[in-house]
Amino acid sequence: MINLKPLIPGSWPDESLRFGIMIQVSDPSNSQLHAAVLYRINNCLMIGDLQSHLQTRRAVVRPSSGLFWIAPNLNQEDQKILAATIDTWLDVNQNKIPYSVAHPGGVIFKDNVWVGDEPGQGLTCATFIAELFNELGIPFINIGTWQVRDGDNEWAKRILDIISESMLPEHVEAQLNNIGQTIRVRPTDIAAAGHLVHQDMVDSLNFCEVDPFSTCIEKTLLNL
Amino acid sequence: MNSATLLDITDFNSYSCPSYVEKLKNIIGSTYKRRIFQNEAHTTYSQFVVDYSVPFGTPSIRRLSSNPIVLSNWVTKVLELSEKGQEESALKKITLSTMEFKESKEFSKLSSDLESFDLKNLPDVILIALVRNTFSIRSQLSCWNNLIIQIEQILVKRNRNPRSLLRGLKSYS
Repeated sequence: MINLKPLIPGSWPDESLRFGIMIQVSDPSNSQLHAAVLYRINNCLMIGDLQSHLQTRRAVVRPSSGLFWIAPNLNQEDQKILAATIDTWLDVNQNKIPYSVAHPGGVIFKDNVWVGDEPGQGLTCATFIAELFNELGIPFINIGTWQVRDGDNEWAKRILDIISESMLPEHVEAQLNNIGQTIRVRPTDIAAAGHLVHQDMVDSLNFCEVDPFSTCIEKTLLNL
Repeated sequence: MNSATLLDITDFNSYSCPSYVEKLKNIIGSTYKRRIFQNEAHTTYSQFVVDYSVPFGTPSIRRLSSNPIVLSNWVTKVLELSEKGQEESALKKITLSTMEFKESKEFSKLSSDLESFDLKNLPDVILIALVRNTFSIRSQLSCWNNLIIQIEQILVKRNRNPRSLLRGLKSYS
């Protein structure tokens, strides 16, 4: 049973939550989902994410019945360190991170600072969160085990079509060339991993552990 | 140990703390023809202390530096914020400062700054943040392996579980 709570006053995260995962249906017409981070800093509950191409967000979160949150089972120390790091990342890398539906692999963040400026390189809302865990050495997901699923290539083409106007032509072309050769980490994978991680977990989660829960979350949110 | 060996190991100022520890371990090991294990080592503002298991017991070697370490501004700030209980600000200062070091690639300076922390007086979360925020560049920091050992030992003494708190940073058998 996955406890997806709506971000409304009746199920608002209490003070003990320093770091959580948020998921929403961002575009119902396209069944598009979006993952973000909830974190508490200076007694404010914040939302932090990569929204689109060169568009990051660090804002005080407001109640919404369309936003659902998960509290990962992480110790307070890791939650506090994740919160401080994401807040600093979003400050230092504000609106600097390219979006890519088909990142070719290799370094994207190096030592907390965005360095992936080659055409085609970029993150999604999901890989942005995965990178946060990687940088701090906190076990989360093992992207090396991820597999291509039905609909991944169609998703990449559709999203690229929607946001390509805001991108340089060479960045679009590089992504088009990479579609079909890269794997996709879905927003629901991040939510599922947020549900599955626990504070004694030594190794990152593999695809086969996450995928069933990811599918379940997707079906729940999209009423499939 | 003969006098020549003693002369070698008293040449403290030639070595940074981790390399001095390694040198000392090798000298004692070769003298007694057995592997020597380090029990504990830590550096504070001006004092360097290391314990070994050796055939004649567990000596504690202390060495007071003639030149007290001058703390960097960011280290001083982290200590100040920690003492005041401003944990979030201290964590953000660690993240920001280590990011700056990573960008400038001043790994040697960062390493000596990390060694200058009086670890025993820092809260658990700050100790863990120091190793987590430097995890990605650990191979370039001469102090990192020693730092995580020291932090592990401090957490054990505080009845915390380092396997859980430091998971992902080192492998435990």
